[in-house]
Amino acid sequence: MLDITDHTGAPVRHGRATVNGVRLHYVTAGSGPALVLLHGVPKTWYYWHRVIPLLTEHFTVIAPDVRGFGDSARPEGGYDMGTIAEDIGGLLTELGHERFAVAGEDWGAAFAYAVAASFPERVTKLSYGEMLLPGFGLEDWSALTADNVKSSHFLWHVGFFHVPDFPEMLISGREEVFWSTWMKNETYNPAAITPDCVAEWVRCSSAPGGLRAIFEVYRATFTNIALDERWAQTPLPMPVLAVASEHFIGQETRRQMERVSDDVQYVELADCGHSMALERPDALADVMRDFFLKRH
Amino acid sequence: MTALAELSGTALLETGVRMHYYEAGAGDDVLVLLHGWPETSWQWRHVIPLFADAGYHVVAPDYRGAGNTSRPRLDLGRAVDPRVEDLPSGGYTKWAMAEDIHQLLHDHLGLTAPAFVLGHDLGGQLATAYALRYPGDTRAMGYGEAPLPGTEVHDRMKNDPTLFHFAFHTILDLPEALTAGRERWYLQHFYDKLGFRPTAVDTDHFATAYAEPGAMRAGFDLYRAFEQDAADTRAALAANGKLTMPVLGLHGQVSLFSAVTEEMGREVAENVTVESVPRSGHWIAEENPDALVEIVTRFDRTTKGR
Repeated sequence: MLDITDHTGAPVRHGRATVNGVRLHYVTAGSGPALVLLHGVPKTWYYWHRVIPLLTEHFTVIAPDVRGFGDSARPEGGYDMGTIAEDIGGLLTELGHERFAVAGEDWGAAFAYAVAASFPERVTKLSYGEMLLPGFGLEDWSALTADNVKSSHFLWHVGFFHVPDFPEMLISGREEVFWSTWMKNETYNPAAITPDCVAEWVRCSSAPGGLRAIFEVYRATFTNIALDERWAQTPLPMPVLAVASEHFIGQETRRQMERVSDDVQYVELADCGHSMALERPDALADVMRDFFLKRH
Repeated sequence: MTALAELSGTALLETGVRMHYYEAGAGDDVLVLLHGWPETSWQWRHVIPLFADAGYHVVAPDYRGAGNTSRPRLDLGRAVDPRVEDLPSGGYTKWAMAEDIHQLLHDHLGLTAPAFVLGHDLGGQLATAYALRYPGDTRAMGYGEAPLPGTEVHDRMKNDPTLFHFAFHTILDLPEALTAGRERWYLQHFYDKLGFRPTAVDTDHFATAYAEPGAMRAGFDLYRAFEQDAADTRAALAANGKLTMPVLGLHGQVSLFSAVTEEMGREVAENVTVESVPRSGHWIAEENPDALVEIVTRFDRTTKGR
């Protein structure tokens, strides 16, 4: 298993906790207020490995593998945003953090939003990076239209991954070429997706159920749409940072959060694509430190 | 003899399943043939024309998840709040699958007469669930060559090493991962192990069918539902008592199930006749189709008193 160190050179700590009926693996490091980092697809806690040492001086960082991903368990169901939010809330309770900040990118941002909407009294601040929420645009960007096809961000996989069984059959045994090509395609700097990242995510997604669990996230789309519509009726009470890349989701990230919050600040990272924490970890860590340390 | 492909039909059911079936013969003397695992309705290819010639209106579907029928999964397209409703299953309990069959017969084909529902292997579990759920629409029932969940026989046999797959198939994801690309070898293991004349089984046909995306998964889902099947059977027996229609228990002459077919039948039904299919192992419809047809028609004649 890959390992990293905090800002002092001390190794991060690995742990497991069974919460909400699912056994989760997480990494934790640093000290200070709790800050949860949530990865996206097809990733694991290791997505944050370049950012974690830049945050541990100020925060107790907790980076879990979401259910179905990494070294967490892959249950049959429960891959909708509501259930995953309950997982994360349960994990933070188990680790003794009644209140915490949460940050996510890609699907991790959708999960972070779900955590904030499910536990508004517990979440102090939300950082939402590079994501369209189900029902709020994700399906629009995945439709087969001329504008989408000629854009740099056509989300064709959303429909493909939703189909039962076929993506498992087609990608199984070809995880490395599929995921590395797919992830690099969404970056501005493809070299940021280094071989260690690819190897780790191939290791996890090629385990029994690894692909299925990833696709279950997409198969929960209609449950997620219903949850998003319900949650959006109550604006989030905590400050929200919308952070996006110049070359992938961009401005729409801000509009997503403006639908659910009256307190949104927006930062866009130049010369950056979808994998911000890998492509521009220093810039992202600066933005996150500013936001999470600032008094509101 | 009409080619089987010309007897093929498709039903779009209210349950959301697109069901493929073979249909031969006509009239109110309906005989439903339910295949087992790892097979499809193709296992009945020899007996369908023979039963039709004997006067039956034969309907042989691929049940949910098998052959040319669709293979539904978890909550696709369903907007549910997971905190107020259990996650829906893929519908592979035999109780749920019985509804598919009932809709095929009565809604799609428009049949009104009660049917003789005969199942082999897991199809026998499905036939039992059908008779328990729709006793008024079941004229007679046949089962055999698999333990019936909810019986003491099943509780005893489910840990038999020969039935290692009962446990193995309930593990999530691992059997899919290990059999992907090796479907033929895995299926052949069962054809060889349980057969008296294993070459009677059309391995080419079934290996092709089970290599389709989701086909192995849907098959394993049948096993993953066994504990719920047992609970459904016990609940139905507690509520309505044992089945009262004529019931035929079948086993191959050379079979793991020879000694228990009658015992488990009597756990779910009052009126059980047990017959052995000579010169056959598990795959009774393929290893000795003539004997199977003779046994079934004789049973039916006798119990109908004609």
